[in-house]
Amino acid sequence: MTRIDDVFRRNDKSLILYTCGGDPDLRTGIDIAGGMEKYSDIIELGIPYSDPLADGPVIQKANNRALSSGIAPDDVFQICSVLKKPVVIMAYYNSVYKYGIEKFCKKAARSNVDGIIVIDLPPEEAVNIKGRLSGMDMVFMVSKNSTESRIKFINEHSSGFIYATAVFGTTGIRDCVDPGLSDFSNRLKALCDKPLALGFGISTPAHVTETFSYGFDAAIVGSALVGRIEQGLNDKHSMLDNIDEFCRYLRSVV
Amino acid sequence: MRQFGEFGGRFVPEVLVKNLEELERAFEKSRNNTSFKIKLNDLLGNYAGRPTPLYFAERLSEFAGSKIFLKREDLLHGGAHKINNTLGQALLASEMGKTRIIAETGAGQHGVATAMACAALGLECEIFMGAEDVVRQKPNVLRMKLCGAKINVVNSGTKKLKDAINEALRDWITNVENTYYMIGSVVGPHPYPTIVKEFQKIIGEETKEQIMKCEERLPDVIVTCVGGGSNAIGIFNEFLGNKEVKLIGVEAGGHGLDTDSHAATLSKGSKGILHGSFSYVLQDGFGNVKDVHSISAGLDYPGVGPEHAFLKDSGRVEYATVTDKEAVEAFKITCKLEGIIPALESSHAIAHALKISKRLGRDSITIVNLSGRGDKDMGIVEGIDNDAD
Repeated sequence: MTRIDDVFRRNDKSLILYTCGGDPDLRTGIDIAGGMEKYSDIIELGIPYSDPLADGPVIQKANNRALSSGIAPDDVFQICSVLKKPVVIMAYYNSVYKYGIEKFCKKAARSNVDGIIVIDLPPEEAVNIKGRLSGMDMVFMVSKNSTESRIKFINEHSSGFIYATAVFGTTGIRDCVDPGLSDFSNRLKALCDKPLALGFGISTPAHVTETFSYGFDAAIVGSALVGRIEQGLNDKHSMLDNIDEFCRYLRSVV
Repeated sequence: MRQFGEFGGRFVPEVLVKNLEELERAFEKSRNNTSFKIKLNDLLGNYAGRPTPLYFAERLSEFAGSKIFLKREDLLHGGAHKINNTLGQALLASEMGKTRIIAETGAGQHGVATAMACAALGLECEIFMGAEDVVRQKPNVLRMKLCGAKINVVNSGTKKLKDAINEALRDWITNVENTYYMIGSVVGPHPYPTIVKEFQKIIGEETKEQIMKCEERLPDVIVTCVGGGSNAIGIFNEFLGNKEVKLIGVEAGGHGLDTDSHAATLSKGSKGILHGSFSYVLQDGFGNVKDVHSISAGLDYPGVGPEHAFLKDSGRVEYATVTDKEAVEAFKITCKLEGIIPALESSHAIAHALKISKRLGRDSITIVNLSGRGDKDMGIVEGIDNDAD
C-alpha cells in the first residue's frame, strides 16, 4: 500500500492543493509548499514548463514566474524532499522525457514523491513511464467526454487515484461548479475502483463542499491558490498569510 | 502507437482523446468515399484553381546554371498551398456536423485559406494569430477579416505561431463538443499529420505527371521550405519511392545557426514532444521550448512535423538551412528575373536551389515548390531596404 492509498483509506474526503513548484522563486516556493502542507492531505507540485497547454492564464503565469527564476525539475524535487505529506508531481511529458524518463522517476522517488501525473500523456503512450515508476503511483486523468471503455481503460492504468476534470477547458478560477458533475461522478463510480479526485475550476470552500456532495473522494484546488501568489508578489509576508488563510478556509469544510 | 517510425503519436490531455478518435474515424470514412472525393475535386478545380502549373523558369535557370522548375502553388486561390488542406478539412468538418472552426496561423496563409474555405462552405471561423505575426503579416489579417473570420490575437508566450497553436488547443479543450480544430500543417497529434498529408499530396502527384510530360524523366532534386512542413510533405510524398530523386527540405536559418536566432528544428533541435506529437523540437536542457526566429513568419516555429523527423533520421530527405539574408536575396532575384513574387517562406527553397545549382550541372532538373506568393511580405522587404538605405 502506498502513502496515497493510505490517505484515501483513512479519509472519506481529502483535500489536494496545487502550486507550481518554485513559483515565484525557490525560497518562496518552499515556504508556500510548506504552508500548504498543513491543510492538505496530498500536495500537488507542478514542474514549470514553457508551453502548458492545458493551463489557463493564472497557472501559465505561475509557470513563467518559476521559469524566470531558473526553476528546473531538480529544484521542484528539492521542495518535495522537505515535505512530510504525500506529494504528487504534475508535469508535461516533455519535461519528463527530456530529463530522461528513468532518471526522472528515480530522482522523484528518492525525493519522497509518491505519485506522478503527466497531463498530456494518455495511458497508451505511458508504457515507458509505467515500467519505471520506482514504487510511485501513476495518476491518469479522465474527462466528462471520456467513453465507457475509455474510463475503464484509465481506471485499469491508474494507481493512487484518478484525476477527473470538472470542466471542458483549461485550469482556472470559475464561479460555479457544474451540477452535471453528479452524473459524471455516478458514471465514474460505476466503472472505477480507484479513488476519484476532482479538479479544474474548484475555487472556493463552497466548491469543495459540492465536490464531496457529488461523491468525489478528493477536491483539487490550484488556480485559486496560485492567484494569491500573483496578488502578493510585492509583499511576501502578506502573501503567505493570505495563502494560509485561504487554505485554512478550504480545510474547514473537509 | 506511432505513425512514422518512433515519431508521431497522440500526446494530449484526456479531454481531446475522444475528439481525435472521432476525427480519425470520420477521416478514414471520407478519404475513400466517392462523393467526398468528387466534392473535394470540384472545389480544388473550380474554387482553388488546381492543377497548378509546373513552370520552367528559364531566366532563373540561366542565372543558376541548371534547369529550375517552379511548382506554382502560389497561383492557388488565397496565394498558397494551404487551401488544398483547408478545403479538405472544411468538407470533413461539415460531414462531421461541426459548425465552428478554429485554426492557428503564423504567416497568415493558413488563416486566410481557412477563412476562405469556411466562407465558401458556410462555417463559422475563428483564427488564432500571435501578436507579433499580426503586425508583420497585416495584409493577411485584413483578408481573413473580410472573409468573415474572427481574429483572436495571442499575447501569451512568444506571441508567434507556437503560441497560436497553444491557444487554439486551449480553445479546443474548452469548446470540445461543437468545434473542429483545423490544423494547418503536418504537425499536431495523430491523425492530423496524416490528414494534412492526404490533402497536400496532390502537389507531388501533379508535379510527377507534369515533369514526365515535359522532360520525360524524373527530376534530380526537389527543394522545398520546411516550417511545420506541409508543402514539403505534399510534394515529397509521391517521390519517396523514387530513390534517384534527391529531396531537400530547407529550414529557416534566421541570423545563422551559430546564433540562437533561427528556426532550424531538424538541423539543431533534439527529440521531444510539442503540440501533441513526438518529433524534433528546439528546446533547452529541461524540455522548455525555445524562442526562435525567422524573417518568415511561416517558418518561425520551434517544432516540425513528425514525418519529417522520420525522413531525416531514415536519411531519405536531406535538411538544409538558409538565412534571412539569403532568402531575401533569392526573393529579389526571382522578382527581377521571372516577374514572380515568392513568399519569404518559399524564397528559402529558391535560395537553396540557387546555392546547389552550379554543382548540379546544366542538364540537371531541380523543382522548387513555390508554396506561396509574397504579396504579404512587401512591408518586411521594404523595411529591410529602408534599413539598408
